[in-house]
Amino acid sequence: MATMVIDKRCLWSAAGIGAFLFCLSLCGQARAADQVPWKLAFSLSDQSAGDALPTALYVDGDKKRYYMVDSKGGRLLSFDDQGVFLQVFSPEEGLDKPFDMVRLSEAVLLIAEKGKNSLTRIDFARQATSRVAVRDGGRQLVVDRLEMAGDRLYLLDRASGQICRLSESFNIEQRFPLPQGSGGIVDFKIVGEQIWALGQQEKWLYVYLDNGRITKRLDISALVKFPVSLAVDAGGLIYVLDRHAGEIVVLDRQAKLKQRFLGKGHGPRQLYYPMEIRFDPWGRLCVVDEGNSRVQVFRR
Amino acid sequence: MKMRCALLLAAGLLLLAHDPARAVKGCLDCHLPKEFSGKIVHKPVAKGQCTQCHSPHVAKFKGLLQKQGGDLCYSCHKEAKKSFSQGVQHQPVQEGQCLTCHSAHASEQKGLLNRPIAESCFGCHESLAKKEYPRQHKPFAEGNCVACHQPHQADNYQLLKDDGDALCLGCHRQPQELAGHQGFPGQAGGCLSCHNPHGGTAQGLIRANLHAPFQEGCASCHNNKEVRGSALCLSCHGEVWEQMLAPHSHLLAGDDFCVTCHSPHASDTVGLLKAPYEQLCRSCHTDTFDRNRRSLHSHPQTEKCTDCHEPHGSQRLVMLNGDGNAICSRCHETQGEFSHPVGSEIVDHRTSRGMNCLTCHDPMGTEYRYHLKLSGKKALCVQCHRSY
Repeated sequence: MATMVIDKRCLWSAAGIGAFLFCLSLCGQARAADQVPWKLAFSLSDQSAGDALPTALYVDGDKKRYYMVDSKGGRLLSFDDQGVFLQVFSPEEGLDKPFDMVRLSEAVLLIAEKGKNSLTRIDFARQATSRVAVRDGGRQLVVDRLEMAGDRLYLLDRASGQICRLSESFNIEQRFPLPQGSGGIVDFKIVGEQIWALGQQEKWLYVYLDNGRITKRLDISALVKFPVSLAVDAGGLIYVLDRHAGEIVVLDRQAKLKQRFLGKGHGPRQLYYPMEIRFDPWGRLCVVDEGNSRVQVFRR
Repeated sequence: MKMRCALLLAAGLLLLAHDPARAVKGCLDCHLPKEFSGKIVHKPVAKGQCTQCHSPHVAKFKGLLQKQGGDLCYSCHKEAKKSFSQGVQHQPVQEGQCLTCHSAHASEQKGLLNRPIAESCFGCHESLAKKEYPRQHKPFAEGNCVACHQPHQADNYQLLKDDGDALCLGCHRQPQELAGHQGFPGQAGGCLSCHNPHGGTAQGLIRANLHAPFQEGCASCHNNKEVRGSALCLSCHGEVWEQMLAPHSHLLAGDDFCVTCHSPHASDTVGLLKAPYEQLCRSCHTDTFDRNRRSLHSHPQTEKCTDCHEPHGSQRLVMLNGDGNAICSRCHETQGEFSHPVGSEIVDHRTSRGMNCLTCHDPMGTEYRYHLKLSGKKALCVQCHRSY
């Protein structure tokens, strides 16, 4: 009888300790979910940036350079991979509202120049600048976001809201048709063989294959107010930039909310009408913060 | 045996506690029955189930209510909660303010409305009530708003019961009513593009401002087979295209982006807008309008969003139509001359940008007085003046 009483007490104690440990583990998980793994590494800004309104960032992994596109100043600002300001660049004739850029080859930059509605090719070797108006039949495309994947160039046409893949001579070789009900794509990123695109008005994410077919649609309308940009990390998590909230929303592949971080304001780790996010080749998350005239670079 | 007695006693006490007659008797000792009588009586009131909504002793909410606003109503009207959350929602529904239109206990009006439907609608939509149209659409003149609008939610813009054309042509299907449309290409449609559904001065309730080519006839635009859609608009309004080639613009996807905001034929607003500014801009910028409404302190709404913002495109942040100081001092003249130092020489160290009014104020709404971004007592100032 005494043995049974002891056994029962032992069982109750063990159960109590188990429950306590279980609660502790739950608290730990909750705390982990609250913690944001992204620490501010540095900001790309400089006194010379002044009243810059940055709209895009291009990261050159080979040269270990960041290039900030300043649409207001009509110029590019370069920084090294530790955020140290290097120089300001603008061709002699200036850039009229540059919006985005990519590097086409060792000595050639390509700028989406909104004011001229052209793809502006800057050849450093030949010291020459040329402008190309991209046409689709009789219609001129309105240049917007640019992306490169290997030697393939992708352009977002603001007028049709569609992404296009362009040939070397800037002719359209592949269209990525708008999904039904979409008000147009606002940003896209190339992730492996897929193109991840963001529909701003309807607040949906779309995944295209390189043949233009959509393979996935994700509704994020309940999670964001005014999405403007997206990025996908190496682990497959999706990052959506909410311009009005000044927040980054992290989602899993099923668009389930994982985390929200940053907020609206002017201090460190705050955003004021941000414009674009992207991962650099070193896994750092870069946020183009238009209203604060800087790019904030976060590391894990 | 003892156990059975205890169970019976507990059951008896529970029944007593939930006896409606007993509950209402207690309540009506003080609250006069005539306050709860009317042509239509809310079901729990009729059954004397006061405690379905009220706590007799203490409660967190005013009126000793068990829950607040819509939460209380939806605890019974579960289906309504589900259906009201779809599509376009009426603002009081969105905010769970059911009692804006309904009475909780009894009413002389169908649906427990707290006053006749037109009075209820015009109670909030005051500007519409004040309009004295020489010619009025019959349902509007009769105050029959629900002839065209849904009161809670709808799948259509402006809480319309159906697509605008379907709604109009549902009544106006007589050939003689379409007689004025003989030159109209194809089937009559886009009715609201030319007609004001409430009233107007012109015959046929045609809107006040007419697009010049429309006045001349349909042919100038509709007979042009080569140029269509927005390209047709821009063939005259070329300067708008220049404005749209900016980092921030309202250039929308598609060939007909102009008619997203503008009517090609007639409008009641300057600039041939499809709706007054607030309605039109809100249809996309819902979150901005919601923030403005919910914030403790926000700039009073101006007549037009374009008082401060460019409608087509701008290189400036949030499509402003001037720099932060210039815009504000158009109205706030004193502050334009006498204020905290501002300008490109006064640099905000947080952003390396020159200070302007918008460095400290957010007119669209904040939780602080004068719609400051942080508290003006200290938090805002010490962002820069750290030694204080």
